[in-house]
Amino acid sequence: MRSIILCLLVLVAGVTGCETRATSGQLSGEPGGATDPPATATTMLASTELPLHRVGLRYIVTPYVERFEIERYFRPIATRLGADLGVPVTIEVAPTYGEQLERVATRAVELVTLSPLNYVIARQRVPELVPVASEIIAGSPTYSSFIVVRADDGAMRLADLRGRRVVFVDERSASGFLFPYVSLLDAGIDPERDLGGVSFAGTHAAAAMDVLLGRADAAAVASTLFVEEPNTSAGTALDVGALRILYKSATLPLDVTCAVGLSESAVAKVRTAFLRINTRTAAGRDVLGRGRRITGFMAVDDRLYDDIRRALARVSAHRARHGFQPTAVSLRSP
Amino acid sequence: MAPLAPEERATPVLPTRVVDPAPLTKLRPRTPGIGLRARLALLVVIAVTIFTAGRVLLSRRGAAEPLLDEARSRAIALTGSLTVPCAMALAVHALERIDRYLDAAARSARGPFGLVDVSMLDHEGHVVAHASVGAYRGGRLGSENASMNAFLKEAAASPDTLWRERSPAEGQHLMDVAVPAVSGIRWGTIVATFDLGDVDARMAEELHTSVAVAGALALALMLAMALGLERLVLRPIRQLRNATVAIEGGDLAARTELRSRDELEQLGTSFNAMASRLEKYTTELERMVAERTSELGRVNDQLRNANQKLKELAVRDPLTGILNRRRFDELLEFEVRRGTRARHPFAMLMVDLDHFKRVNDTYGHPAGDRVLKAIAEHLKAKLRSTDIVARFGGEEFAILLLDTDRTMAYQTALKLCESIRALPIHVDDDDTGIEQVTASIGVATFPHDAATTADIIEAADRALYVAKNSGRDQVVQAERNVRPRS
Repeated sequence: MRSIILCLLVLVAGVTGCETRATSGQLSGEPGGATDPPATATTMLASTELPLHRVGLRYIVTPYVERFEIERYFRPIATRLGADLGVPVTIEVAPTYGEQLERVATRAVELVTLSPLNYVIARQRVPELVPVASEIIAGSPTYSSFIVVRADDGAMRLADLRGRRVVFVDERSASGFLFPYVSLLDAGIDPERDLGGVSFAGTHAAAAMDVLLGRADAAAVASTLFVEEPNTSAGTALDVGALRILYKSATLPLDVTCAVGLSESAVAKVRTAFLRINTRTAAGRDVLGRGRRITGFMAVDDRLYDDIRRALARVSAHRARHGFQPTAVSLRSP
Repeated sequence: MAPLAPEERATPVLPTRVVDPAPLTKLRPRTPGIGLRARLALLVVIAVTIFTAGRVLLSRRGAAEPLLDEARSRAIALTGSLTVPCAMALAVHALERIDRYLDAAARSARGPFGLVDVSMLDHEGHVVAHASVGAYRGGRLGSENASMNAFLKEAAASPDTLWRERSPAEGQHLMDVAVPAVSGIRWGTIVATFDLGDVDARMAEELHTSVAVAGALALALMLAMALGLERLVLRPIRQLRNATVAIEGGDLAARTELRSRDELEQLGTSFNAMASRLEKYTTELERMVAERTSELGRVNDQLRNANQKLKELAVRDPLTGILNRRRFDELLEFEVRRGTRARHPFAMLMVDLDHFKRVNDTYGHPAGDRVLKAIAEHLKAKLRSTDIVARFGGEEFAILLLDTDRTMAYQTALKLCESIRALPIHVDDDDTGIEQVTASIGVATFPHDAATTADIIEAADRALYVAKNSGRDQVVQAERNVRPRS
């Protein structure tokens, strides 16, 4: 009997004593984006890494705001890039999206900043386009698309917009046209047929203003309108508090700077130089402080734009059935 | 007949086996200790207690893990929820916004999450904002808490979410969580400290519940085991014991009826087989004993008869069937002692057939024997049953008349003398020859004529001698103090 009791004690001790509980640990961080470039990595470009007959880089940016603003925002960045890369970086402002794309396609520039939708379109035209770094606006690397109505509007869901007037930003805006268009299709509304009217305001702020002023019932705008300072480019103070969000899309990457015609090593150095520009440091804040609230850059991957590609394909196919020629997608053959 | 030797009197008819007494001593039952039921009950109690203790320990760990996992998940989730807004605020260098976020978190998350301290570090590990709850001061940033500072340093350098549980020995039971504040790039780190007191309280509560449940389970288990042991072990063993006791008490027909389909049933079957063999052997043994006993009784009867016969032969005269001289002397001795003690008179008659030689000579010794037998039978027939008749030797008979005085003895002797004389005796086998005999009788009385055995015989013999010499066929009484005949 004594031996049985001993066996039982040993068994219980074995069962209860063979386990220890962890009192500390770590969880894997988010992949990509969170990794700072090595502090010791050099970004100085060798002459062999530059295109033939070039001593510097040409950087063309999107003509989405006034030229002087672009000059003001991007000039310090170009200067900083030039300092880090050891070569001059000249900034250009494209007069139109088409010309910008043409400059890229003809290798007239090495660096270009594109909106997400324009990147997808340009990548179709210029497959060797390499995404280098995406902007971080006000600390956020992404944004969303909203469909907003006035706060006192009776529409509670997208289906309520049937027969109402909707204003988009531009056919080449992912947040101001493409994703809202898809969301309406998903809600059973054919924007080409079921809406009371469709218009394009040109900018996000103007679209929102159209709703506030009663020129439209709903507007497709970027979420950045709600986190940025009121944009007065439309000439009128924008009271976003008077708007109500009816729809919010999945997140979209912000504008992306791409390289074309550069070697892989040069692209890596350019990317590192971009990633070093952020508001974490006083020098970075000096560079970006006057900008359009760009707070930094993050590395991106082309797969990040697959959602936009799918949405573009769907909208293009839908509009083609309605005889729209050309549309945004027609840029495939400018 | 020669007397039987002592070894011939015992009749050991049964086979015997010599048994060493030592093993029997070992089989002697010892003083009863703890019974089997009590031992099994004790074993069950110990096993269930150990099981319960193990169950409680395991359940304590089992209860602690999910609670701590949940607390950790909630802490990481809460801390993580601060990272994006704080990162965005830090990106635009809006430190006052971070303060608001952290203060709001500290105020609202104190109760449900146990948040007691929260800080934001920039990407170099410098504190840019901080909020704490109540009187909590343990591990505050910038304090001399080396452990906390080391954790902060590690958290600022790690791309991963870190957590650690501070041992209660450091004061409160706390958990530190550090989540990288990433929004596109790593802007900094949110470090929060949570009080696990509520978790400990819930663990204690669950432990109590677990103990109660384990206790109830243990009780149920104990009862089940007790019932199981009673049914599966104790009852069969008790049945075996009862059968054993019954057999020990002599009921060899006692059997077990175990149907447990296990070793106990096998034991019961073996026991029954053993009992059957024992019963068979015992029955056979008893039959043999009965046979031997019966035979012994028969032999004993024969022996008793033989002894009786031998005894008769020892005290009877083989020819006449009356007492012999030896027995007569014993009785005379007895009567002298009795008469001396009780003053009872008795008389001895010494009877001698007259001219008996002539009968032998005339008719042969067989005829003489018939005469002696006839006289003996005649004397017995004539005398009282209490009187003693013996053949004293040859043609002499001795008679003891008990409780008879001298006068009555003389009268009796005269009547005997006359009756003998009148007695026709067949001396031939065909009863054709009839002879008449006479007898001379000497009478001596106790204590009148003599007071000892020898003197009485002597006195009677002397009186007979006088009767013989006086012409025979007469009775002569002994005279007191008469001198013996020469």
